[in-house]
Amino acid sequence: MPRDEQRWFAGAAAGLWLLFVVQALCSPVLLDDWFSLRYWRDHAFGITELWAYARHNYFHYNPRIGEVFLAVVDGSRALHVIVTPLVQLALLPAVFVIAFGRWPRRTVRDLQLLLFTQAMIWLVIPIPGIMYFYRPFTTNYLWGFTITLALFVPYRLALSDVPRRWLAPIVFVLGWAAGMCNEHTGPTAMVAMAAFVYAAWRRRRLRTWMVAGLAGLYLGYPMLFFAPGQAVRYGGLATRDTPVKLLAERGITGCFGILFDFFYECRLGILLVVAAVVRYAITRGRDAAWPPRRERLTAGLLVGTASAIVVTLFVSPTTTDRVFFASGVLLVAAFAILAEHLFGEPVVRRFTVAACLVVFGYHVVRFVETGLAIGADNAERIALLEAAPAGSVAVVPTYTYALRSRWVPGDDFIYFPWLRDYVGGELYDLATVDLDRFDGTPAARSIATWTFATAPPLRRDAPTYRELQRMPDHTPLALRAGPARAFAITTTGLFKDPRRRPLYVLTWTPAGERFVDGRPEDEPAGHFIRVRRATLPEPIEDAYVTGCGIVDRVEPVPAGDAVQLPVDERYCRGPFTAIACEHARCWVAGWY
Amino acid sequence: MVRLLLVLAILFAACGDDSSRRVADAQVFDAPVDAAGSGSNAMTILEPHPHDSKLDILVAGLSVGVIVGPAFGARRRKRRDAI
Repeated sequence: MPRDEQRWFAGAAAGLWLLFVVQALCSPVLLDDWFSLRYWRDHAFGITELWAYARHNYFHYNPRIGEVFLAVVDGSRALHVIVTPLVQLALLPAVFVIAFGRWPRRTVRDLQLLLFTQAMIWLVIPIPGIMYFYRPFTTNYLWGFTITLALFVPYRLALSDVPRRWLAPIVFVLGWAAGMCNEHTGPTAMVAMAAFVYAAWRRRRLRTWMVAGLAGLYLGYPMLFFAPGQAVRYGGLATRDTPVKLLAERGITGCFGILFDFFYECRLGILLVVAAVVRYAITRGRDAAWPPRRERLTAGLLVGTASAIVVTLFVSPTTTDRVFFASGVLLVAAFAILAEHLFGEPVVRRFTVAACLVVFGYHVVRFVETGLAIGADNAERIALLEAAPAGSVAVVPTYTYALRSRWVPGDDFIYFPWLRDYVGGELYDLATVDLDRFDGTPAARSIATWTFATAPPLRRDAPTYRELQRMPDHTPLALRAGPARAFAITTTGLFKDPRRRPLYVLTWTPAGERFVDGRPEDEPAGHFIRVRRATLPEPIEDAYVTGCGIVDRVEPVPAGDAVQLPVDERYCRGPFTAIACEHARCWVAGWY
Repeated sequence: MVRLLLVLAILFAACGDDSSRRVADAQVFDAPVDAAGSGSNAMTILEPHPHDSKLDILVAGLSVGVIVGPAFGARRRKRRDAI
């Protein structure tokens, strides 16, 4: 290999890696990231706590292994900056191996094919900026499918290779992880795996590690599909919308609509490939040739595999842009095979590579531009939240790129107003967070009222519930404004009681005080708000847990010197607030 | 003529209006109650998905360039082969 070509190759790989590192450094904390941060605030970052998190997810929330990866990269910025770019980079050679059955060589020709592949991936997948750089999607989909492709890499290479016993345990774990990644890619992966193993068996090249990988995949996918958490995820969507029901509702038109949606999303990539084919046909004229039969077959299988994953979506409750990622990548692998053939004609290669270079450059510019902007906005927002006095209402600017687009997920505080209460209240001890624009959503407010014997009552913003919880004694607070006769903290906007009772957080008089003390409790059976029984008024007529705009009437479960109120995480991860109601008034009774 | 038709077809395909293809409106900010989910669930329900029209035009233009770009080398080779 010429040394110049090797240098070009290494430079390009380093450049792409650098792009991914810069983007990882700029990664904003958005939506799901906040929930992970909240978890790591209360738990030490380590294997034990990660296992507890994974276990809870598997049984009670989202069983995908990508959620665990998300917790890892949210828990450690260093790991995110190191591992995520490597995974993003690894996708490219993995696609190359799947397409060509060999590793890329450090030549300009292979570099051109890799450039084509990367540019086409960004062109074909619907929301590349979000899929690559919004951590929850990156870990669930990009990491997930890279693992799946990595599983198939040794199979794709192996049919002409020597036995490798040491691969068996690695491939087994890889197979299991690939099975645990995504519901919609698993069935196709299992069929493809069976085909690989059968082909190896027919050629008398079946190896132990091949069976190990198959066993891992065939274990991992059922573990994901039948995970207890599936029954509650998406608000129990999987149990409500059964495959038969979904098929009946969608009908033939609806199903083909999903397939059409996929190819519509790929249209720019298809357009560029069609242009290259047309140019090849025009240039070669009658000398134009089809790719060799073997390449045609491989490309056809890849298109079929991409389509099969889309067909799996016919029975999936969620068919949105992000689930087209795996199919898009496989389609690009098929395109790459075609491109290699077309590149045999220099003029086609020159123009197509130039076009891909422009597309690649355009994406890089947009990624960096939006990444730097949203990263800076996010850093500013976090700095403002950290600087705001506890109990106050923090006002933060909206993001420069506030709307969801091909490049960014948008401003999570705009799309999900309840998230402001969660982030403000639970992570920064603020009354809430307001945006300087687009703010039309009333948020909960707590008001502290001091009542005096002679002077008129005094009303001020109140400390948050968690701050009150940390105070060993509330008397200094009650006497802060002078010799009060009574002191109370009430909340509005948090909970609409059907009986319109006032909602109290704290009452104090010189004779005593009432503050209902409840806090998060994680058990193997689920997540609860544990309320100290001694702090509860008697009798309690109603108990509620409210969160994310939903109010659940719950039955308190006695648990020693406390009662447990179950947290329903089917729709979201919080914030949750427990409400306990007497006949005449209600109390904030804890948080999760 | 064939090239012109191809170019027109490509431009039509690449620059088509897709405003009716997405169910959600990017300008609607207040999430409905049932959209108040976390992560993928939350994103699923809103999912405004505007396309980048500049990219559409860019790729259309590049596709045209791939088809009609000058090919001196190929012509030279053809002439050479014909001799």
